[in-house]
Amino acid sequence: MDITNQNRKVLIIDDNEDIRIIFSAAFEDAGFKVFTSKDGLWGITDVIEINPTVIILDIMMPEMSGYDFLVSLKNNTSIKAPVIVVSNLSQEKDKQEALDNGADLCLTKSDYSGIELVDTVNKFLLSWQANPQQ
Amino acid sequence: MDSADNPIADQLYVDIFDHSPFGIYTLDQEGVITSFNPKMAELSGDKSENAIGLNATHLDSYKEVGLDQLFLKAIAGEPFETEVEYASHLANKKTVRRYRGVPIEDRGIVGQARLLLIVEDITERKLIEKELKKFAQFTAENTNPLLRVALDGRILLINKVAEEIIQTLQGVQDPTLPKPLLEPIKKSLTEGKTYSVDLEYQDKIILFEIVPVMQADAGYANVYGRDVSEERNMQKIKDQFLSITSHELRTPMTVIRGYIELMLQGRVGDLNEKQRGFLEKILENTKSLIEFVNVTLDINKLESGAVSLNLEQVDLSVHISKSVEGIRNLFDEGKINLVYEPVSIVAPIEPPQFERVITNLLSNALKFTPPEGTVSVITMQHEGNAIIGVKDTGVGISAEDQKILFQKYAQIDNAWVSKMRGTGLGLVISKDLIEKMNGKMWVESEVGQGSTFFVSLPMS
Repeated sequence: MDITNQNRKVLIIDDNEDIRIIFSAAFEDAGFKVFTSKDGLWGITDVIEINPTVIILDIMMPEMSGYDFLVSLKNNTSIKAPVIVVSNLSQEKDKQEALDNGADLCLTKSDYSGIELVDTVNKFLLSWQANPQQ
Repeated sequence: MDSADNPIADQLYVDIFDHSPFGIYTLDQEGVITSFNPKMAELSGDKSENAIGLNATHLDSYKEVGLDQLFLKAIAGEPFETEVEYASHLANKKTVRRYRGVPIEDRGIVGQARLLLIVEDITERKLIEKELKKFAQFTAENTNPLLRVALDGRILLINKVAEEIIQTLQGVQDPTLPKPLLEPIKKSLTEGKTYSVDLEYQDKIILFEIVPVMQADAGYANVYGRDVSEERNMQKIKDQFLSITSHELRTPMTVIRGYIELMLQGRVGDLNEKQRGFLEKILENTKSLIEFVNVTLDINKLESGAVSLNLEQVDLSVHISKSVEGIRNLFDEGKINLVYEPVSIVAPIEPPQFERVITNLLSNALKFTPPEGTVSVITMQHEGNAIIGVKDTGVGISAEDQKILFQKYAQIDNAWVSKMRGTGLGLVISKDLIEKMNGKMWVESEVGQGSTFFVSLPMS
């Protein structure tokens, strides 16, 4: 299955506006159609409407955390898009909690430039589409 | 057999009397001494010939300690055994004697004797007992739990605190050891290695250190407990503090980095060379800050013991090759030769962490080697160890700097941090990781002659 980036939709859920701007620019450059939500709570409504190819998710958000978003996504929607957690919580136990709640990949935000993030997401999508987890 | 008919038996009694290690004497009906052996003479300081004929019950010293009454009762047929402590008139010290009084029926065999007295000097034994008691109390009164456990898990010795803890944990009288403690004890005794384990007990955390003592026929483990609640709590607070601080540092740094990258991409207009140069400097420094936060967290993780490695017996050359190929393009960019000829060499490692160490050594070598220089990775086997050397033709490291190269930043001053910037505090972490794989790491270098960083890992 070959999906070009033109058909790919990414939903970026992060409460930090600057992060949304920076990541959006990088994904747009790579040809993604970019959508953003400023909180997990908004994200849950947006995700159903958008039905994205991939979700970029922060953890520490005021209304609904990334962990809760993951649980809600699994329990309350039929969305099967992979979720890549991109957070500055870098401890193993934080990452493990995200994975346990259904995240497909966990990255430390500060370790990636926008371009590097898109690169990693593209590589992930390649292997995910070859062998989807769900 | 009556001894009166047997001269050999008579002689035997005399010999026993004369050579006995116990003082022996006899009293008649009235308490008058009728015999007095040489050992008794030695104990009392009186000569036999002087003692015989004296009335023992009338002697002041016996009255003082109440022996006169016991003597009289014993003569009337009531045996006794008693310990008496009194000041010796021979030396300026207290002595302790054990007296045994044995009434003798009138058999007409030892003259007029009615009471046999056997006396033993137990001063030394009493002293030793006292010392032993002191030692035993020292252990018993220790506020830390202490116990000794046999190979089969039986408790050989246990102090009061340990007994309380184990009874509470197991909820029964005379309990066996709880599994979380017994398992590491058994492991320690089988492997002959020291182990430690944390157990929770009434809102406290008790650390038990298990020290095996191996002997030819049997072994046992000494187990020393200690309340580490405070330490563990401090570590937790430190972890939380670092976790929050690092999150709060990373977020603005991610933003700074992201906007600089957008500017460098020309999104907000063309940049002149100077602007581009400045932005690149800002970016570079932001990246070092992020790296510093990462390294600080890593060091804390290693120190808190939160990192435990799963070692696998694998071919090191596979993982060295991965690290080498992963970084090769940076060497090509810097016009530095990177040489590695893979030779299979097997040792127990954790592959991702091992690759991290090799990559760290290679990136350090890259930073300090001028263009046209060479960095080579060599491997060899030596006395059961796999040795990996990362050799560069760089600037070299002075003997003074070699000493602080692997030290943790917390132990030294700021000058060190600024010196280490660029080489990456990664060396400290690398060394820690290699040690967690039971290996060693060191450097050999001379200023101007390049450096070689060595990693040695036991092959089994």
